[in-house]
Amino acid sequence: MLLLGVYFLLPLALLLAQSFRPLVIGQPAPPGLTLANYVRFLGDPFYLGTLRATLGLGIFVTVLAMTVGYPVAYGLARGRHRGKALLRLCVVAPLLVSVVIRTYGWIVLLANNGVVNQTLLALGLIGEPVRFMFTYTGVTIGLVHFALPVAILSLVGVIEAVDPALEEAARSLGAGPGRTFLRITLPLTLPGLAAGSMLVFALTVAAFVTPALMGGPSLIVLSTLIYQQMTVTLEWGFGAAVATILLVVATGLFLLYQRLLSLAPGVEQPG
Amino acid sequence: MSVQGRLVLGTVNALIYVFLLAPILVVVIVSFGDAAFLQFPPRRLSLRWYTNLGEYPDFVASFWLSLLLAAATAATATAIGTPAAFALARHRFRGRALLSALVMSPLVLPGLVTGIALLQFFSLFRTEPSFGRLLIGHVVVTVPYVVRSVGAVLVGFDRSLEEAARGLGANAWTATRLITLPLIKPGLLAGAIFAFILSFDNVVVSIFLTTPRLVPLPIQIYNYVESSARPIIASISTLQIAVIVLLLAAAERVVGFSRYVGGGER
Repeated sequence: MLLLGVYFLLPLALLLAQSFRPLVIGQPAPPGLTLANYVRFLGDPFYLGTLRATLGLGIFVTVLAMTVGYPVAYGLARGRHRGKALLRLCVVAPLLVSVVIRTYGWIVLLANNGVVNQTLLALGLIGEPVRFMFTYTGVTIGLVHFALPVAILSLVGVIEAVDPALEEAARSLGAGPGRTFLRITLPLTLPGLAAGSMLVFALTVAAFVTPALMGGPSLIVLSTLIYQQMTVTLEWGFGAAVATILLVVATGLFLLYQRLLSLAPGVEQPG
Repeated sequence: MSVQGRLVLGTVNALIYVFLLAPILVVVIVSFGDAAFLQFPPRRLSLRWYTNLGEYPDFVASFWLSLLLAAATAATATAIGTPAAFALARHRFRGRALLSALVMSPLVLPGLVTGIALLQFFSLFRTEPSFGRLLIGHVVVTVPYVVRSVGAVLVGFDRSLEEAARGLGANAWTATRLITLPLIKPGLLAGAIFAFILSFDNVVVSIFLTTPRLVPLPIQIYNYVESSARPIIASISTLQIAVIVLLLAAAERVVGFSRYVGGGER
């Protein structure tokens, strides 16, 4: 445990301290603390743009992943067929494969001469390849795939906690499936849905590999900006400040998720 | 639900499952192609990209390095995480909440932030980057998973079994070996396997701690993908996936492991 203290808390404290150090490259920094790194971030339209891109992608991907994940989670929670264990494994499988390999798979699928474009061209649906790589569309697809298993796993427990008898009662009283869903299932799962969204959002804004490989230099988000600062431009103080901002956004939401979790019944904690 | 409703839900879900598995399956299929470039579906199947792996010594070295690193991480994280889980589950002591928060915090924190924090920390020492640094980084981010897995089996653990063994004359070590360890084995194994897989897959911590001579496999793949999407990446990726599948299959035979599967990249 001492090890965690030394190799986790200490480096973290150092990172925070570094973010308040003056901007000097290569030289031992003059003493004193400053907010210069944060002022620089907040005063520059380019950096603010990366923050906006990160949050925008985060919200969009979260909404998509929760929407797409809901029917799958519903099937897993309510299904009584024998293939359920296998389906669950299919949901978990992407989590077991390194995110670099998953991203490579998406590049094979989505490149200009990739599988998807070739198929669409062959079918005559498009005249020229759709640009997925280095665009918001491509990064969004990659990130939704990255977040989907967690979205589904967070929803399964939430849906399982809803007594099926309530849905059956609504149906027997004459409500259609759509109305039953909107009036019974959805409202009852809303707290868990909100909690799961926080988790998915926190994961998405902190994701690095997908935006780095699929967004390239044309789509910089906080995580790729941090990587640049730490390894290419070597402005560690500024990198540390951006990392602190990311930490506040992602970890703050994760803690909010846990808070909501304690209020929402039946939420399974993935992770 | 009506037959119609089931049909719609079933079709939608089938498409989503295809989406979930597509990028993984495509990598595996492409790896068995015969062409010098990426081809899907492959016109002819071959093992070409497996038999010529030897021509990519950097990939081979990375593969063995990652395997060793993952095994060392699993062993170390289990050795550290298990006592922590016991302390948290069985004792009420001052600082318990703090210990709990400390153990879990690498789970809450984006891995990237942990990575750069370690990079800055290690740069304070003038020592050369080494295997030890990678190991420390991986242990820090995997210990929480071990604590959770072991903690989960300890919740339902009946301590009177241990007391009965002691009452029947077993000493502490014998009681632990014969009673406690077999009972917590599923959690222990699940934690170790989590740690192994997370280390074997890790990018965000490794990327800041690699050296030109010590490049874990996911970082090597990352570097290759960044320059070009060649078929050799598909075959080494498939081998990476195969290691994890074999590991899980072996674990499934020892204890029903599938109950414990779940998790996320952080």
